[in-house]
Amino acid sequence: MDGHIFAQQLVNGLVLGMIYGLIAVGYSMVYGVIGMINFAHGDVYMVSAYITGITLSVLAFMGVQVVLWTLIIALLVVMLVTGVYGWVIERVAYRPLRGSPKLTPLISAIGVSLFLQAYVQLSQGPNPQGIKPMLSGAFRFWFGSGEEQFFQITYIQTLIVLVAMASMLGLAYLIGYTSLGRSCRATQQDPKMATLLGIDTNRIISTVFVIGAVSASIAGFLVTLNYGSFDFYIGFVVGVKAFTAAVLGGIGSLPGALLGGVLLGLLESLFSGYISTDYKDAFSFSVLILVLVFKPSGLLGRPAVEKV
Amino acid sequence: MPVQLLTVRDLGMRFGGIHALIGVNFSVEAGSITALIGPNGAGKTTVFNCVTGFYPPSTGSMELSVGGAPQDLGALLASQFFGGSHRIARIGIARTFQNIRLFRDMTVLENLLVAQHHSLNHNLLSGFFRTHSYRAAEQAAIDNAIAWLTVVGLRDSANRLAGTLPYGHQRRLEIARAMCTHPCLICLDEPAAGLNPRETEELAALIRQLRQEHRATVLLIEHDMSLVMGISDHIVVLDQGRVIAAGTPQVVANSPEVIHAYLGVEDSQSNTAVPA
Amino acid sequence: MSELHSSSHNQAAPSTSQWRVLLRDAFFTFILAWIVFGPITGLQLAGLEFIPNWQRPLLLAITVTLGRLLFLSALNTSWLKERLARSAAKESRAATVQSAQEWRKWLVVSAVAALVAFVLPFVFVDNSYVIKSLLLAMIYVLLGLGLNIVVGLAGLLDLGFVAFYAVGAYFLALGAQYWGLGFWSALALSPLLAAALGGLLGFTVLRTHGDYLAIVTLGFGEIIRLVLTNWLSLTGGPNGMPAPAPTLFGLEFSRVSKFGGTPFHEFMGWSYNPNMKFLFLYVVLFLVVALMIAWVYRLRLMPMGRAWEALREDEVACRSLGINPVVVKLSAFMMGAMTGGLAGVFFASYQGFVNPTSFTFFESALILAIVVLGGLGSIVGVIVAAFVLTLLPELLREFADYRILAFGILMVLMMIWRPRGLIRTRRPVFTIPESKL
Repeated sequence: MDGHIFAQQLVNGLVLGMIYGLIAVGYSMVYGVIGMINFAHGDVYMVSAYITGITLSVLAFMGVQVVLWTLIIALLVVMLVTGVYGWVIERVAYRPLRGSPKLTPLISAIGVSLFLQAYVQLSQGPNPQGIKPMLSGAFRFWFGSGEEQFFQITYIQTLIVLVAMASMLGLAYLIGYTSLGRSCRATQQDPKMATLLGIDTNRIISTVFVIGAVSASIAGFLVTLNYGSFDFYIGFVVGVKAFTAAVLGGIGSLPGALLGGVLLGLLESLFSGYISTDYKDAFSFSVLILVLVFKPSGLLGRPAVEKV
Repeated sequence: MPVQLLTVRDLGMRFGGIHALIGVNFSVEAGSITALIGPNGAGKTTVFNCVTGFYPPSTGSMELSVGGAPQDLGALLASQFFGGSHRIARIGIARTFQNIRLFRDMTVLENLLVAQHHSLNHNLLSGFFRTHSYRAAEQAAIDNAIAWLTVVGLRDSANRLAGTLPYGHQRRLEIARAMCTHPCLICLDEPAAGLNPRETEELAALIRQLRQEHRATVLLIEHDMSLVMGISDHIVVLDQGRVIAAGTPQVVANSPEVIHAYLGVEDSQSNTAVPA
Repeated sequence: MSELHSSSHNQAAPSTSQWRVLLRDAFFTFILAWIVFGPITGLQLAGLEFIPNWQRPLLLAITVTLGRLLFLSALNTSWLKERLARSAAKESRAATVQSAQEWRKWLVVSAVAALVAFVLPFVFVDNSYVIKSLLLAMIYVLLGLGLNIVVGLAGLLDLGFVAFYAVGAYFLALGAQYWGLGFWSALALSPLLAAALGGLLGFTVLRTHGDYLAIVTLGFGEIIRLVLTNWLSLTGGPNGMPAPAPTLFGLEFSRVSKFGGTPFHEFMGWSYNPNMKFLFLYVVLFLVVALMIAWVYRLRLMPMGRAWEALREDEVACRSLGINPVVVKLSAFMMGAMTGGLAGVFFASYQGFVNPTSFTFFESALILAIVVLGGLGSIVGVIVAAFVLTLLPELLREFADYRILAFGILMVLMMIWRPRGLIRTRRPVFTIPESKL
C-alpha cells in the first residue's frame, strides 16, 4: 500500500468530512428541536452554491480585485441570503404544520425540496454553472524517496478545514455559552417547559433553522470554491449523506455532527479510492442504512428508551 | 390452597445507572383483585411493563400459572424475532395503559375486533371469498365484542370513532378491549385517572364485575386510595423500587412503613392521604 | 369606525394601527421576497458572467407581497375566520363512518366510472397518445394501491417504493434477455421476487420508525437505482435495456412476427394498428387493477388489514393485544412490494425498454403524493389522485417546464390545507342487534 495515496485519501476524506459536518449541523439541530428531518436542507445548500457563484460573478463584474475582500464579502452575502431562505422555508412550510402527525411535515419538506430544485433549474437553466478558479496551489508533503510519492492539501482545502473548524467552534460557543444557545438547548430538551419559562419557542425554532441554513451555506460556499461548478441537483445526494453524518455522530449533538461528518468523509474517501468510485454513493447510503438500523442513536447520542 | 396466578420473584430493573426495581417479590392470587400502590416514581408502572412484557427485566423471574403449569414470562420475551410482548398477551395477560392507547381512527367495534385477531380466520382466500367458516368466525367475534360493549355500557357507541368518545368512555373501551383477548390476568394501569367520583364508582363496580362474572384476576396500579381500599383483596406497596408492605387493605393502611413512604419526613412525594 | 359592507356581521374598517401593522408586514415581505428571489431569478449565470433580469424578481416580489397583504387582511374578516374554523373542524375528524345509502351511491358511481375507464381507450383507438396516457395512469393507480397498503394502511413511511417498481420492470427486461422469459411469465414471477425484496426491506427496518424509516427506505431505493445504473454488464447502465411486448397465446402485436408464427392482427383478420399492443396491455392492466382494488377492499375488512391499521394507530397497543408487529410489518411491505413489481412489468412492456432514469426518487415522491393527496387508506382517493397527477400534466402540456415546481407547491399547500388528503377513509359499519335488556 502506497503511503502517500493513503494519506491523500485521508486528506480528501477529512476535507469532505468537514463539508458534511457543516451541513449535518443543520439536520442535527433541527431534528433536536422539533424532531423533524428537514428534507429540504440539502437543497438549501444547493441554493447557497448558486448564490456563491452569482455573488462572485457580480463582484468580478463590479471590479473587485482583491481576493480576500471578494471571498469575505461573498461569504457574508451567501450566509445572509441563505439564512433568509432558511427562515422563510420554516415560516411558510413547516410552522403551520407544527403538531401534525409525522408524515405531514415530511411531505411538505419533500415539496419544498422539489420546489427549490425546479425553481433554481427554471431560473438559472438546467446546465451546470461554474466559477472562475481561485486560489490555485497546494501544500505538498513528500513520503519516501520517489518524486511522485507525495500527497497534497490544496490552499482551498486548507481554507475549507480552517473555516469549517472556525464555524464549528463559533457554533459551539453560541450553543454552549450564550443565552440564545441555552434557550436552544432548553427547547430541545423540553419545549413545553421552555415555553412556560418564557422562552419564545417559535423564535428559537426559527433561529435554529437559520443557523442550520447559514452553516450549510458556508459549506456551499467552500464547496463551490473547491470544485468550481454546481448544478441544481447537488443538494439531494449531499443532503442524504450529510444526514447520514448527523445520525452517525448522534442526532441532536453538535460535536456529533462534526464527528459523523469527518468519519463519513473518511470512509467514503477510502472506499472511493480503494474499492470503487462508481459505487461510492451507494456505499454512503449503505452506511446510512446500517447506522439507522443498528445504532440509530449514533456514536455520541443517547439511546432513547421506549415510553410505554 | 389458593392458586397463585402470577408469581414475581426478585424482580430487578436497571436503566443505565438507575435501579428502578430492586428485589421485588409478590404474587397475585387467582381470582383476586390486587393493587400495586406507592408514591410517584416508586416503580409501579415499571413492574407492569415487566410483567406485560414491554421491558425485559434485568434480574429475577416472573411466572404465570397457565392451566396449572408455570410459564416463565422472561423466556417468552427472550426469543429474538418471535418473542416479545405480544406473546405475553397471547398466554393470557392483558393490560390497559396510563395514557389510553386506543386505535383512535378506528371505530369502537373495530378496536374490539382487533383484540380478537387470533380467533379470526386468517386465510386470505377465505377472507376474499367470504367463505362460511370465515363469516362464522367473524360473526362470533362481533357478537363477543357487542357482549363486552354491553358490559361496559358502550353498546350505543359501537360504530363511533374511538377517538371521539368522551374520556371516561375511552377508559372503559380500553378495558373492554383488553377483556376481548380472553385473558386470565388483566393489568389496569391507573384506570381511575381523570375520572370524577361517580365514574370511579362505576369503574369499581365494573372491576368487581370482571372478577365475579368473568373470572378475571385483576392487578391494578392506582393512586385513588378510596378505590384501592374499596375493592382490593390484596395490596402491594412499592417505594423507590422496593416492596415495603403487602397484605390486606387494613394491614397496609396501618403499616408504619407505608405511612412514612407516603407522608414522609424529609421527602414528601405523594399528596394522596392514606385513610387511617 | 365606518361600516364597510352590509353583511349581517358588523365589520369595522381596519383601524390606523392595523393598517400600519399591515403595511409594515407588507414592507418586510417585499424586502424578504427581494432577498429570496433577487439573486436566483434576477441574475442568471451564463458561463462566468451573468445576465440581469429585473422583471422576474420584481414580479415575484410584488405578487408575493400582494398575496400576503390580501391574505392577512382577509384573515381579519369574520367570513374567512368562519370558513377556516369550519374547515378545521371537518379536518380534525380523520375518518367518517359510512352509511348504507352512501355505500349504494358509491357503488353506482364506481360502476359507471369503471365502465367509462374501460371503454375510453377503445373510443380513441387511433389516438396512441390518449391510450398511452390512460395506460400510464392505470400503472400509477396500481402503484398507488400498493404504496397505500404500506403507507396508508400500515402507516410505514416508505420513500423507496420505486425500488420494487424497478425490480419488476428490470425483471422483465433481464428475464427476456437471459432466460427467454415473456410478458406472462414475468407477470407471474415478478410479484414473488418483489415480495421477497419487500420482505428483506421490512426485516431490515423492523425497529426503525417515523422519519428515520422514511430515510432508510429512501436509501434502499437509491441503492437499487445506483446499482442498476452502474452495473453496465448486467443492466446496460444508463442506456438501459429493451423489454419485450406482451403476446396473447404466442400471437405478437407487431406488424410482422419476430419469432415466426402469425401476428395478432393477421390472426384476427384485422388490419394492423400500432395501438393494438397498448390496448391489449390496457385490458390486462385494467383487469389486474380491478382485481387489486377488490383485493385491497377485502383486505381492509380482514384480520390482516385490520392489523395493519391497528399497527399504524398504535404499535404498543397492538403488542398488548397479542399481535406480532414483525408479521404485520413484513406482510405490509411484501404485499405493497408485490404490487409495485406487477406495475413494473406493465411499465417495461409498455415502454419497450427500461432504464434507471424512470426510477428516481422523484417517482417515489410522486407515488407517495398520490397516496397522501388521495387520502391515506382510501382506495377511491388513490385512484382519483393517480389519474389527476398523471393526466393533469398531460393536459397542461404547455406548462410542462413548471411541472415539478407546481408539484412541489402543491404538496406544501395540500399539507397545510388538507393534510388528510382529498377523500376521507370511511370506516365500516356493523349492525348492532336491538338490546335485549
